[in-house]
Amino acid sequence: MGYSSKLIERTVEEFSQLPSIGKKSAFRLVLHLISQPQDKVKEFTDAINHMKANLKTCAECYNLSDEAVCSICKNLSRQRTTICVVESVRDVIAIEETDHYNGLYHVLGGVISPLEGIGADDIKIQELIDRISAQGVTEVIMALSPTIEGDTTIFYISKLLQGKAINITTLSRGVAFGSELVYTDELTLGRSILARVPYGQNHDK
Amino acid sequence: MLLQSIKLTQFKNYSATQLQFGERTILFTGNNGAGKTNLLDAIYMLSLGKSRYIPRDSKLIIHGEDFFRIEGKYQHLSATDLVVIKYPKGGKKEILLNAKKRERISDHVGAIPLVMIGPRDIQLFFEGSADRRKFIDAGICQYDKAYLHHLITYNRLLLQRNSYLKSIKSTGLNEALLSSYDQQLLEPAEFIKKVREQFIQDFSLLFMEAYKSISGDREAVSCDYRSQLLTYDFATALIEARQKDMILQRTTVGIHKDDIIFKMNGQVLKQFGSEGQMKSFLISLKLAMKEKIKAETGKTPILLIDDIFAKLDADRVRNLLTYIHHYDDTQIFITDTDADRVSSILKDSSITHEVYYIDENSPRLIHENNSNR
Ligand SMILES: [Zn+2]
Repeated sequence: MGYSSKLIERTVEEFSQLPSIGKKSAFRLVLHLISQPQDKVKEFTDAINHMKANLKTCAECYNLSDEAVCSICKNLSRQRTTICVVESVRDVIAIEETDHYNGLYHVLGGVISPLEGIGADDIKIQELIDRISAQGVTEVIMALSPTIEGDTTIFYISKLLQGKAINITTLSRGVAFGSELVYTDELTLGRSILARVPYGQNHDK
Repeated sequence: MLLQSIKLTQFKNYSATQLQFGERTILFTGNNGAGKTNLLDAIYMLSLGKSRYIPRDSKLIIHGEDFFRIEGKYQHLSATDLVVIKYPKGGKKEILLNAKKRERISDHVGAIPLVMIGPRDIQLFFEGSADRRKFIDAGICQYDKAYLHHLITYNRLLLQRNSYLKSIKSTGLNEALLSSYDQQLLEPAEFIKKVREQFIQDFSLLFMEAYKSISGDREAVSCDYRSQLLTYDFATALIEARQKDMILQRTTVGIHKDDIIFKMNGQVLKQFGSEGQMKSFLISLKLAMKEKIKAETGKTPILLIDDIFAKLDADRVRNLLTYIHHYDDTQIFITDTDADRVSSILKDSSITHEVYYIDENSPRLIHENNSNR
């Protein structure tokens, strides 16, 4: 596209680097911003800068948070003996939207995959084990991708928890979760959280 | 299965070609490089989802174009199946069965069973065990989805375990993680071993029968399954091999070390067979595979024979073609540079067939009906 202005060209370039934004959509967004008053645009960029500069990772569950400890972890009405283990922040949001879960979370930040250079120490597994012991957790729900790497991660964590009086459960299979969690509709995901099964009884695929 | 028609668009050297097939025996002839094998490759792809010869799909598109498409119309009993494969350059390959998109390419494998014999297959007797495992896996996967699934799982775990073994040098051994891989490998390994063991038992009988019919020879032939897991408990073997695995940084025990030993009169084939005997042996293996797939799926696989009749005496070729034609309802596609060689054998044996001459300059097909009367 030939732009009359280098200023526009550069902004379009920045926008089009966002996921699922092509050059055309980027141009449309930029045109919209141009039509806005200066302080409106400043509000917009300030929001982004402020967020980026102040956003924290929750010291307990590794969810994104405004403060040192996130609002879910701080919420005293949530059941503190149940932890749902997920790969990413996106999974937390997907499960929260179902309204069917009232425990805490633990965001691993990935699954074990030596092929991609991700070892057991590169994700928050030890932090999970420490947390379980320290907080008197009785149930751990594994909501990881139904991939070989997801399975290995569940297998490994349950190995580390062996001998402890902890109920390990997984979401019922046949429902996409983990990396696909966000694409599953709320109803199905909600159901699979309610109908979770003890780990080990869910092995045959 | 009967392939009734095929339509190629910008695939290899075919910009737009459509062919109808009315017979069970079809011969593609023409000079080398005219595109005979490309036709077989298209038929192969409609069944197995990938080219037999070229691993990268982008190389299958005719030069200068940006997609290819293959379409095949099949008949099985009274039903017809339409398979379409599309590949846009830089995009994702799609397979559709009766207009319904397959989620994964592997989901399609087995829908249109097929067995191919090509000149390179003779390597089965010389190369490492990987080729022989691939031979049996390629057959079993066409009818046993659980096997295919366990095989994919096993191979992925093995890849991860080997990667992990390589990383131990810098990160130190995490006993719990390594044994997680070990324990996860057990179930798929046990499953695969059991299926392979049973497979070879059933397959051996079909194989001996096929060899007798087409070779006319009286050699005693056999194939035996070898696996470390037949004599060792896999879990124990993994622990015993651990030190060695860590030094070599790869997994040294498991079903990825399985092998099949081909024998003739009690001797290992590669050391004693003549070229003719080996080709008969190879063809018999493939025919036995076809029978096994047919027994399991109730569908007769399509048979592709790519350029293997050179240096094979006329008697063996005749035995093979009459055996297949009169034995069952298999549809065979044959390529041969020597138009007369196969054609005259077919005529002599009263086998109705079609011959397509493929012109070198323009890959147009000249249909010649050679049915016997
Ligand atoms: Zn938190």
